[in-house]
Amino acid sequence: MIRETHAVDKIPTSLSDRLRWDSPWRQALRRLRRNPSGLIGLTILAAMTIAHLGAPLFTDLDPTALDKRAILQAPSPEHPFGTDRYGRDLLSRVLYGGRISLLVASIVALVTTCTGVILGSLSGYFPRLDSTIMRIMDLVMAFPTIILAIAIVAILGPQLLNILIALVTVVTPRTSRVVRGVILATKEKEFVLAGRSVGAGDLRIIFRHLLPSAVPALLVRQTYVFGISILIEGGLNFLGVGVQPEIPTLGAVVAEGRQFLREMPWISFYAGMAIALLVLGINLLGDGLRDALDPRMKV
Amino acid sequence: MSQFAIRRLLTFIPALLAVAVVIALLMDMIPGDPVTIMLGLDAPGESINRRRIELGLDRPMHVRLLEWLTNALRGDLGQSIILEKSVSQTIAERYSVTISLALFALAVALAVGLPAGIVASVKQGTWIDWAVTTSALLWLSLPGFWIALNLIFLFSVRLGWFPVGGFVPVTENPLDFLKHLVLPAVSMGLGSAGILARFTRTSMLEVLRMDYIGTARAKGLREIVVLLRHALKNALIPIITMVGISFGDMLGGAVISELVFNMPGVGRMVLDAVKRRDYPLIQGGIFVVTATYLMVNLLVDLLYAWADPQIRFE
Repeated sequence: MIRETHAVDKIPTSLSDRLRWDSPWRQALRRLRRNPSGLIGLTILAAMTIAHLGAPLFTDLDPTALDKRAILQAPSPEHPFGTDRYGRDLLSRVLYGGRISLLVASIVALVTTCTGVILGSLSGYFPRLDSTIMRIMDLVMAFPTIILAIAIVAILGPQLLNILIALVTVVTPRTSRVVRGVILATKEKEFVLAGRSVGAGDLRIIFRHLLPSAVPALLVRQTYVFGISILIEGGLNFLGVGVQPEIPTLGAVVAEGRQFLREMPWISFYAGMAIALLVLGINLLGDGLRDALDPRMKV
Repeated sequence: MSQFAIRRLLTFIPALLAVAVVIALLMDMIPGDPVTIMLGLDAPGESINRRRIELGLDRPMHVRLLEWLTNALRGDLGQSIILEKSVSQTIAERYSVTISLALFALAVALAVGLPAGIVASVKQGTWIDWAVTTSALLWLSLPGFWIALNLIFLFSVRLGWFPVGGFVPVTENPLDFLKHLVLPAVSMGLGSAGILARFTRTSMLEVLRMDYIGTARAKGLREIVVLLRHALKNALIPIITMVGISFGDMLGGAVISELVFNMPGVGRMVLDAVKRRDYPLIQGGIFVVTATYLMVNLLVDLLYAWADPQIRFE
């Protein structure tokens, strides 16, 4: 109770007070720890990340090794998820395939944080740039997401880098809108005007005074971006317009299983399940973060 | 209202133009020479040149774009290279498949998402609310193509209730038409249903906290009247926008359903064209799908302005 009242007190100056002071971030962390959905999400995500990144710990088999004697086998102790039509072990394909999903989603989340922050702050802070930047973002959003992604990959060629370019292009507009929204709402507040009146430059105002307010909303948005990226990447690889076919991906494994669905439904099942668990984990975590960082957003 | 409609209509035309220009620019960015790719690297230089002139590729980009636009205005989107058929005709044959698919998926999303969101908001904090929010999150986390395969396995292969795939025009047999659309529409609609349910719940909870809801209740109105006539009507306004976005997802997502369920739609046509590098077909297909999406957004904005008079004067 004492801690709670302390939290609304003025920001302490002495070191010992500072250590005891309940910063907004610490409060958020405490709320997250008490948030069951956030914790379940974090657990699922952590377990999946360990399984994918630590793939060699869980299987000795090479996901690309062909085995003519083990074509299209049902799940067995030797091949817990069975094998595909080239005799490749599906457990190892799923474990290694998830690495691509995690890699793509992490890079897209990081890069679009940068592009979103840059475009969003330019647009929100400088009225003269606003309409130009936002019209371009609107133009990108005018295309149905997956169609635009297919077009970009089709033009640039099926490669990991081009998948990343496609995803960054389709994700950036909404992220930059989130940042722009917070900047627009904050830039006329007294503390910003105070900063300007003592001679702070535009960059200092943006980075020190405006962007910190955007962090909670941005963090929540980018958690969902992680999930969206996994779904779109899975879709592109499923459609065959993804990374090079020799790289195992979850979407491609699901696609391979499609023609054997009648007799061997497990081929598609586990790979799809892996995508679902990754996305579910990150979305649960996103909901938990949203509730913890901004209790007002929780209704 | 009519003034708003005219203003909104005037932004639609430049948007359509901009989309056409972007697609043309993207097509122009394709590395390498499309004719060489089409005819193969070992094709004689003479036939490559002849084909280039036939396709008009020897002229500068802006000339081709202008020609494409003037032809598009007359409904001519060029010739498909592989199919040796007009692009407009190919799309016209397939357009109804994609539109029926998207509309049905939207119907599923609305039929599941709206009631689920309303019930969850009314029963906030109960196990019903928990069940709705949890399943909504689950739906929107599952990849649509995986839902589709599981549905086929369960309802077509095992139970035999629905066909594995294909499409029957409504004019041919309305019942078969419906039967062929159920599984694809559910597989596409569930994710959006999850998003809509969450959105509806939030929107309803916000409205239910308003003073006028208390007034309505104090007047002694029945709860169902308060909920549907007073709360839902206002909560629906932000949901309209969400429905527009969902429809865009359906138009794009149709690519996946059309592939999995083997339906002859525009999405699969674009995908096939991409794999076979049939550029006029890619260009025309993407343009038509995007133009449809822009048109839906136009309708959504008009609907929004009609539902919320404040918008018209912004």
